Amino acid sequence: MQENWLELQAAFNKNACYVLATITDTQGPTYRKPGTMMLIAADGKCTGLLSGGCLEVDIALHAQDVLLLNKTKRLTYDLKADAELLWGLGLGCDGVITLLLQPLTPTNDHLDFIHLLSAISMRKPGYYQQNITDNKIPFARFVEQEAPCLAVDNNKINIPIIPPISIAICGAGPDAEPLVNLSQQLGWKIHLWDHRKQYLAQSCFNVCHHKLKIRAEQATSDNFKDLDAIVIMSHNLVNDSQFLAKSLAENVNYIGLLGPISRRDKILNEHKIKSDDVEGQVYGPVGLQLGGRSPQAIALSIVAEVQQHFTNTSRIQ
Amino acid sequence: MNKSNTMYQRELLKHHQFPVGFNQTINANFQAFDENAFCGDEISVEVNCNKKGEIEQISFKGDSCAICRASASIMCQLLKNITLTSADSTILNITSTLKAKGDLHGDLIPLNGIKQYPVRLQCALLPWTTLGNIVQQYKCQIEEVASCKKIG
Repeated sequence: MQENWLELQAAFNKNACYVLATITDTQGPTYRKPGTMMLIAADGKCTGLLSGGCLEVDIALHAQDVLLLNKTKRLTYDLKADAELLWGLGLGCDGVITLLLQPLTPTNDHLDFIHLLSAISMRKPGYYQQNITDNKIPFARFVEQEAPCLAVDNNKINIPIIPPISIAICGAGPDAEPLVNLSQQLGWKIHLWDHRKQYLAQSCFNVCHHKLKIRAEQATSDNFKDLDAIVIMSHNLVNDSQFLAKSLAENVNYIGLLGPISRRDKILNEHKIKSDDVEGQVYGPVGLQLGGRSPQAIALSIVAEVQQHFTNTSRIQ
Repeated sequence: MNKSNTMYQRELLKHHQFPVGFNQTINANFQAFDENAFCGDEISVEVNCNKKGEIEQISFKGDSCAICRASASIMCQLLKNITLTSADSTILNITSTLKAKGDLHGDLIPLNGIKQYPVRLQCALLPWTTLGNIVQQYKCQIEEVASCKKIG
C-alpha cells in the first residue's frame, strides 16, 4: 500500500506552505521503504508516517529550514548499532534511511502536488518525479499514465502513484460497521450500498465516501465503475446472488462473499459457475482464517484478505 | 558519516557509557532538578562550591537518554574548579550556539552532532539549563549576603 491519499487530500490546503518528505533510499531493515511520502505543514504537523518513531519530529524541525531557505535538503539517518544507542530516534531497526525534503509552496505551484491529488480524486494513476539533488531549486512533476515501478537514480526518483482501493460494501447491517471503520483506517475509498434508508443513515457510516440506497436488481454498470473490491454481505441470498452476478459481469477485481462454502456454491451454481473458474477473484467464505469470531475479528479478516489480494495483484504496470 | 564525526560520536558514547559525575555522592550546597517532558529526561544536578564561588564538586543523577547523560558528563568534566559565574557564561555560550546551529569548540565539540538531530537539542541542553538554575540560586544567595552586610 502507498500513502493514505484521502488523509493527505483532507490535510492539503492550496494556499498553505508545506514540506514534502520522501524516502529516497534505505539500507537494512526500515519501517517504510523508498517512495514513501509525508507532508509537513508549516506548524510542524505531519500527515503520513515515515519511521513510526520520533524521527518525524526531527524531520519536522529540519523542514523549518527547508521552508525558510526554499531549498531541497537531503537527510541521512544512519542508525545502526552505536548511533542508534546514542541518538535513539526510534528506528531501532539497524537501518539507514535517506530522505529528501522539498518545499511545496503556492509560489512553486506546490511542485505539481495538487495535480497529483486531483488525479487521485479522479482515480488516475501515474508517477511523481522528484529531483533528489541536494540544495538545489526544488523540482517535481506528476505524470498521468499507468503506474510504473519505483525508479531511483542519482538525480531523480519516480514514485508510482496508485489511487486508494475503492471498496463497495453491500449491506449496511451492524456487521458492516467494523468493516467500514477498518477500511477507513486503511485509507480506502468506501462505498456503502443498502436498500434501507434508515440503515444507511446511521452515524457510524458517516465516514463512508459514498452511500447509495440501491436494490441489487437496480445496480447498473455505472455503480461498479472504478470499484476495486466488493464485499457482498446483504444477508439475503437473492440479493447476494444478483450482486455477485453483476460484480462478475463488471469484472470487479476482488469479490468477497459472506457466508459458508455451501452458500457460495449455491450462488455460483445458480449462475452456472464453478468456484475454480473464479479463483483469485471470488473469495467465499470472505476473509482470511485468522481465528476470531466477533464481528470485529471477521471484519479484520476481510480487510486483511483484501489487502493481501491487492498486494499480490500488483496494480503497477 | 565522516571520520571526525565518527570520532566525536564515539566520544559521546564514551561519556554515555562511563559518565563523569553520575550518581556520585557529594557534599552539595546547591541542587536543582529539571525535566524534559517531551523526551522523558529527568535530571538532578548537585554542586558543592566554596566561598570563592568555585565548583569543587559537581554531580548528576536521574533517568535520561544517552545524549542528555553524555552532555551532563561533559558538563561535570568541564566545569570542575571553575567559578559559577564562569559556568554561567559557558551555559550561555552552549545554549545560544546550539540553538543557532553554530559550532562549539574544545571539549564541547562532540555536542556539535546535535545539529544533525535537532529533536535532541533539548536533551543536550537539559543538564546545562539545570545548572543554570543553580547559578541563579547562587546569585540570589550572593545578593542576600550583600544586602545583609549593608543592613548590618
